Amino acid sequence: MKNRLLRNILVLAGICSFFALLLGLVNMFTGPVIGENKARDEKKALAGLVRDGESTGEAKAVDGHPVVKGAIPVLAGGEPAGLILTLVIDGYGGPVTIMANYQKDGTLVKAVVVNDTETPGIGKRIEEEWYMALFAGKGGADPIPLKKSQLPAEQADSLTGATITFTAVSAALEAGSAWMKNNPEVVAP
Amino acid sequence: MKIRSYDFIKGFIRENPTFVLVLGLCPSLAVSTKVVYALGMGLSTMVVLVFSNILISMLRKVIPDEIHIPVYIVIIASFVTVVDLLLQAYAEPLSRALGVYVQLIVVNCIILGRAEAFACKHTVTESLVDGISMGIGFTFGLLLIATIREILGNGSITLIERKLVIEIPVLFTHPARVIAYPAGALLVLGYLKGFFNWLTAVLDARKSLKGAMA
Repeated sequence: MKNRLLRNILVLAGICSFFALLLGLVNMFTGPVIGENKARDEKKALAGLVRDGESTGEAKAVDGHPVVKGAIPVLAGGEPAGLILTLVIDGYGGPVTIMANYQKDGTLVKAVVVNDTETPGIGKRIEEEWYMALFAGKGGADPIPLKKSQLPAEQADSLTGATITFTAVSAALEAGSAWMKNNPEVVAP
Repeated sequence: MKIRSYDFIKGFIRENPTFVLVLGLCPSLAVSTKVVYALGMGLSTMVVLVFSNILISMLRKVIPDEIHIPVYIVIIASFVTVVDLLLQAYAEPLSRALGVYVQLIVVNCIILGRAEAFACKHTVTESLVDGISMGIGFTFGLLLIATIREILGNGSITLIERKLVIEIPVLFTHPARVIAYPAGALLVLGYLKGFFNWLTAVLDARKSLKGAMA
């Protein structure tokens, strides 16, 4: 009995050790490539967020906020025009990372999803440009829609399903807008 | 045991994992919205299936009965992680498109099912052939569902995401949207299952007739 238990432990430990080594090796080769891919995606997203005549400053980390994780100053003619915020929120399938360009008053200029694990064909539609365009221009005087029912009928109809994903994205964008309004010193130091 | 040509093609119709064995239906329904997703998921599953079958067959005399399920799960989960990391590194758009379903290959019934029903009782070569056959059968099943759903539900066939998309005249502008939604996936699967039931019945009848004549 004791011998069988010991044999079982040794077999399981041996197999686990072999695979830990294999995964370590694979990670050693793929890790840097995955890192490069992520950096390239973020760079591409950043380039697509700024408007003509705008440039970006140095990224700053934001500590202690549940959604806003980083801020990149947006400059127009050398003057602060707003911020690109990195927003992270839990969606349906895991964390959703969004980069969003806000004006000083919290109005959303443009947003893109940089990383997510939402359901293909359903929640994954947040990666499409038209989806994020639903929120553009909102967050200042016009509030960000937090429910599908707050959207015009024809836009709400195009959002069949994936309610949890929609709620997460809108809550993240709203949190970004509120953060902009509450931290004017960061926007225009 | 001698490998027959039937062993390579059994996964296509007679033992098709999706339509006959009715295994791995979750990804079959979830990622069959586009042809390219179905192909990626099918090939990823096949890689995991082949390698886990080989290793489980190699270790079948070493793995004690009491812990065979935990050992199979460790083996399958590790190969899935390897495939996931490789996709993230070298096929990033596909990895993004398949999302969480790549990781969910771990709990795909086809893989654990073939480990339990086949690989743990057969030689490495036979298990390799079984993995290939079932993998091709699963990929074929996924592709069939995805092709029908994408043509009817979107009016297109996506071979490379956003780069190579064939648009079907009329259907592209007037698609039957319900087919692209989960309800459509169940409908298509149901009709294909019915077709495969009919096909296997016809094949069985022919085989019996041949046997009787011989």
